[in-house]
Amino acid sequence: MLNRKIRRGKTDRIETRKLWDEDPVEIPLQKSKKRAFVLVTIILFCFAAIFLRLINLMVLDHDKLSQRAAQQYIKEKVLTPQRGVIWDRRMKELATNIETDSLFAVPSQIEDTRTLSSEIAPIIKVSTGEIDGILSKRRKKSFAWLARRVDLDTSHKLSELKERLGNGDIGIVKEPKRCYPKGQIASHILGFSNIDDHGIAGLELVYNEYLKGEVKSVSVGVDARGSSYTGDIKKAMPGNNIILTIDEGLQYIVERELAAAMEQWKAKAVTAIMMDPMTGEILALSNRPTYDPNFPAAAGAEEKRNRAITDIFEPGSTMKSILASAALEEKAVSLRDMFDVSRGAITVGGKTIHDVHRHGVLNFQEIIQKSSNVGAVKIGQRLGAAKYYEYIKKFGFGDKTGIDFPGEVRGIARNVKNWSGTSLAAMSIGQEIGMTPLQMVRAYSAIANGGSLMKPYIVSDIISPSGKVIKKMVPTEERRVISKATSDKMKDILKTVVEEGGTAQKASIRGNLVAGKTGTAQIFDPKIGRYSGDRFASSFVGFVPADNPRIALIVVVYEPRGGSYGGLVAAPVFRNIIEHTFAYLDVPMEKDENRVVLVSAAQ
Amino acid sequence: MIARRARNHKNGGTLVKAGFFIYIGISLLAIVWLKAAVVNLEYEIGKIDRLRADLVSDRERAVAQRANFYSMGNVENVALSRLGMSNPERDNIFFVTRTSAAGPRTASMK
Repeated sequence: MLNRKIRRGKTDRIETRKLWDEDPVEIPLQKSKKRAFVLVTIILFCFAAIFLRLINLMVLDHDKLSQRAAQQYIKEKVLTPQRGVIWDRRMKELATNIETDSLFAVPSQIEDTRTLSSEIAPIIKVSTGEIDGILSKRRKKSFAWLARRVDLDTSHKLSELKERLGNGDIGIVKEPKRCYPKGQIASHILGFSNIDDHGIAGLELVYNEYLKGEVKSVSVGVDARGSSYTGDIKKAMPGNNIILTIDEGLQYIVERELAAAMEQWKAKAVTAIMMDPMTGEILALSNRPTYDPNFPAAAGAEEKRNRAITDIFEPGSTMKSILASAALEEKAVSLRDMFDVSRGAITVGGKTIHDVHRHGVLNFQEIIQKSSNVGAVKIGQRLGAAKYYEYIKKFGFGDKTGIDFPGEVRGIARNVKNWSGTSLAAMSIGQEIGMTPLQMVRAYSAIANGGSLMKPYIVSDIISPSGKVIKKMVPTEERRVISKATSDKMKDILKTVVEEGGTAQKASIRGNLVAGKTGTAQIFDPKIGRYSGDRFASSFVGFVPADNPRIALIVVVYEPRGGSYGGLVAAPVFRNIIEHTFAYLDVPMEKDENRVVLVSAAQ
Repeated sequence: MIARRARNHKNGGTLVKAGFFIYIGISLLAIVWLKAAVVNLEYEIGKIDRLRADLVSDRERAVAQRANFYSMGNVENVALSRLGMSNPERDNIFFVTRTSAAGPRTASMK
């Protein structure tokens, strides 16, 4: 009431009076309430605004904002898996992995590319201009590789440089690198992988899916400097491991002898395959020229060619054993049959085929032993083209063996319908037919093991990183091609080839019986349209011990100089390999029991 | 009397309030300290894990080196060039077979 009176009486004065002029005691209650209301409203409004903002931040934009926040302290890291290890049959590492350092730069944050380039260039042994070019080209990018998978020494120097620079201009990441610790050994079998760890050749290519492992990405916490503080506890899933049928020791022996033969005969190339005739397991496979899979870029296509399965050669006289097996199986001939080859030549379809030496009258066994071309043609004529072709196919010629290698070729075995008047005679002596060395050693393995054509294979087991067997290869008999009786007869015949009077005496070894056959084939020259007079493929294929074969081996020497006959060029290589193989495998001499010493076991 | 009781009551309330704020403060500090300790531990784990990775890497390198040193070519090279050995001929190889020892016969009740 009092306030109203004052207000009414002194309206003009009240309007002009200021708040601080008033005595607090005299502040009107009504006015105070009003101000409090306004203040509370403002505060509530502010709280409401904050509340709404919080709803906006924590509910509506939650996903987007939390993702943005996570980007600042969580880094996605891709873990590169290691490829599986490749072992030989004795679990010796043929292909493994080592961790190497790779250098990258962050071009977008580098101020002076020239100076940085000049510091890095001498360490990674490239020109300053080259690095400067990379950095300038990717100036706006945040990542550029400068050097990948450097050696240990370079890695140390790069780490020191990174520490000295103390900024994030360059970085070092660990990458697994494929390593072939045996160097050139088994290079054509293993193949190699590229810088991104993908198989490019050999088993690395065929079994890439098994070997490559699984790429994994994990989230790690990072601090303000960008370095992770939670350890890389998770590891990428490594690839599966592979166990081969190859024996490193045997592989080494074969490679060493091939290198010596290559040197001795100045040959264009040499190939050898060692196989277990009973199972089809490849024990060793080698070619010369060769390469080091650790440095595949340094080798040319010639060095990288796996001739054992990709090159076709005309077998020459080694084919006579196939012909003889077919003739015996079909009873077209008997061991007592005699053949007059005294003329030393035979004309078939206008083509005259000669013997290297004149022989007179030979029995069936002697035709193979002395490798008479005329005699072989006569056997072929008795067998007939259709039957011979049937056995050519039965022994697997003209078809892939199915070995787990890339690039295998079928060879050439024309259908009998397409044979000319001279084809039967030519094929009887191993011409007009092409095959890979693998096909030939497989066919001889069938003769050696009693008549079964085995599927060759080179991978024995595939094992998961935890040790579980994923895949196990077992010996597979494709078909029976000849009977046990024919096989035994052929073994006896092939034994005589390396005995006195045979063409391959240089293949004989002391203490054990060898069965085999030489081959000397002229190489067809497409430039002149006929067989070359001075280019040959010399070969020897056989098995040992003849009566209980453990090893089948083929040696092919392409274009040797200073000699051409298989018995002269390839047979000694065969002998050297087998002698060392027997010493390595502890195979005692069959004919010399004095070599075995009995001792008493200690009590 | 009433005034004293009211003052005591007022003082007690102040203490509770102070205790509450101290409790909140200590709790906050503990949380921050724990968080810092966890991060510190993660740094330690990261460091140890990197050390482990380095050791694994060294091991892999050592395995590769061992495989290289034990390769047949290297072994033969060392044997021939450094140790003066030579590859044996087949005649030089004797196969030793172990047999049971021939000893005096002993009587036994068993």
